Amino acid sequence: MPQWLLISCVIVAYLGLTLWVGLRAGHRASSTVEGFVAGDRNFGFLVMYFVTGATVFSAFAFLGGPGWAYSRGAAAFYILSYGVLGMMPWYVIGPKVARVGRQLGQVTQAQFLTGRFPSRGLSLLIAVISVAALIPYITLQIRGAGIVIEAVTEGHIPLWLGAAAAYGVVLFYVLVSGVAAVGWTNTLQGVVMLVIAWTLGLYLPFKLYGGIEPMIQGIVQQRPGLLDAPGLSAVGQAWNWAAYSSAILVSAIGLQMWPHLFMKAFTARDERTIRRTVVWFPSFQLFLVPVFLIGLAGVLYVDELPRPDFILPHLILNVELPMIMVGLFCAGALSASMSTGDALLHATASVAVEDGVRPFVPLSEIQQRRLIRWLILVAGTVAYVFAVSEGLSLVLLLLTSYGIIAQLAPPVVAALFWRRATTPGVITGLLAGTATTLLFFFQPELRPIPLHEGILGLSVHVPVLLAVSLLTPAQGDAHVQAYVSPSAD
Amino acid sequence: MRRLAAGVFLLNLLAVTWPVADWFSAAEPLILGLPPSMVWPIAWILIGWVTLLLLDHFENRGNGQ
Repeated sequence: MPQWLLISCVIVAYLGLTLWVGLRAGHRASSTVEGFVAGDRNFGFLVMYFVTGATVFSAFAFLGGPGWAYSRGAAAFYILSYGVLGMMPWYVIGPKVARVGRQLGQVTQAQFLTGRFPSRGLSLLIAVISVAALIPYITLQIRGAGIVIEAVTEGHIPLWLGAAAAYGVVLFYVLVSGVAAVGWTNTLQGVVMLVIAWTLGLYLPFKLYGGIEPMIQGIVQQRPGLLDAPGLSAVGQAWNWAAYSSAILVSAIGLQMWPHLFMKAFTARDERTIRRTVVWFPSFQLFLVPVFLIGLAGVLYVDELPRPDFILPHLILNVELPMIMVGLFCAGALSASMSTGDALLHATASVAVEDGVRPFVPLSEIQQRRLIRWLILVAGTVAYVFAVSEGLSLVLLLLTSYGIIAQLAPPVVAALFWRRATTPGVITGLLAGTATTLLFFFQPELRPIPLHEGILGLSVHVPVLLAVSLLTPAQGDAHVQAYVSPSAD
Repeated sequence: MRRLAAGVFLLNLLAVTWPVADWFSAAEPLILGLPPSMVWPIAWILIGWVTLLLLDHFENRGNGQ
């Protein structure tokens, strides 16, 4: 049997296993909107740990991480720096969000914010921002899956077919089982990702260089400057500290504000589960170490690869690995893609219905569930079309999304910790911050200092939120109390 | 304990960004086979992890669980 056919069998077996786990998970959830969107608020520690870790680390980390280390050297290490910073505040904020959500029956980020700052316009604004940021993210995951399958089957399964197969499975289990499927498949996928990353990250340096230290020594001698922080820019010149530092800052601020991660606070069984998830997240963050070692293994082994994101599949196919390693690599890469893609698809449709439609059109429980399912299908189809089309700079769109998503942080913090915050203050702040971010993204030459556009957006957002809130009438004490000091359950 | 954890969080932020990160930005001498520019952020992941474990331990004990 030809090698590509054997690898295809491994892929089919893995997709079958994922589908089985996803469908079985659905038996545990109720047939309510809360069951479909928030898993009946019943995720335990193990599931929450893997949901968080596997969702944060996507195909972008599994393929893009080695690509950055290979082409930009120490610049990639900024990705190591922001995870714990982004997660630590969630130890305090996450349980508070969950408590408010449980008491007020909320299942999305916009419901949480409009509970404190009542406004249908704000709900719609957050829905638009969220969906606009999530679609490019889903597209990247689908494309990642297609690229991997096409590469390892030597083109016998083209990108469009591989992506369709992997995401056909994802759509099926998300449509049938909702967030329960996301939780249990992410647990499987998280385990696979961790095992494969550590296996390959240690195996490749030993196979190619005889160890990690000889590999690093070789890079230092033959590519001086590559491993000096802040590394290289996308065009191969020295990157600057302002860009490196502000990338850490904006990513840390934005990390938990992504709707698909924020909403998981509503799925946790209790507050203790959220705290334990935060405490153990750094163990998942260390998964980036072998991911970068894989990329660094390619530095002296592979000459100028036109698309650095392909370094991992390139190494896998050119290093004469045992068949089992190639198959395992496929499972790991597909896990990274699918574990994020399923959560994104589910969040996109849930946010669109709960925050974009329901505040304007009354819907029954059955209608909500049905509409969410339809929109999961629509979002998946739109992202799939983008994924198989060439020419759209999705990475650029995604990087901008981080800046915009970070703008959701000040309203969340204000909702929980600042009694004097008002609805007009939050809306004007959000609009000003988002507009500033977009302005400096499209007109980078106008930036007063070379910081990430999201940080510049926040530097306008926060003063506007403060000033407008102080200039408008304060909210009633009883209303504010439910957020700032929510009573124990 | 929360104040201590907040302090570590701020130190972490300062440590991995300019100008402090610049002091640990070199590729040599290697530490455990890795460049200091990589070891520094890894060390802060571990410091953050230990801080969170301690915070959780003391908070949990305070709740009498």
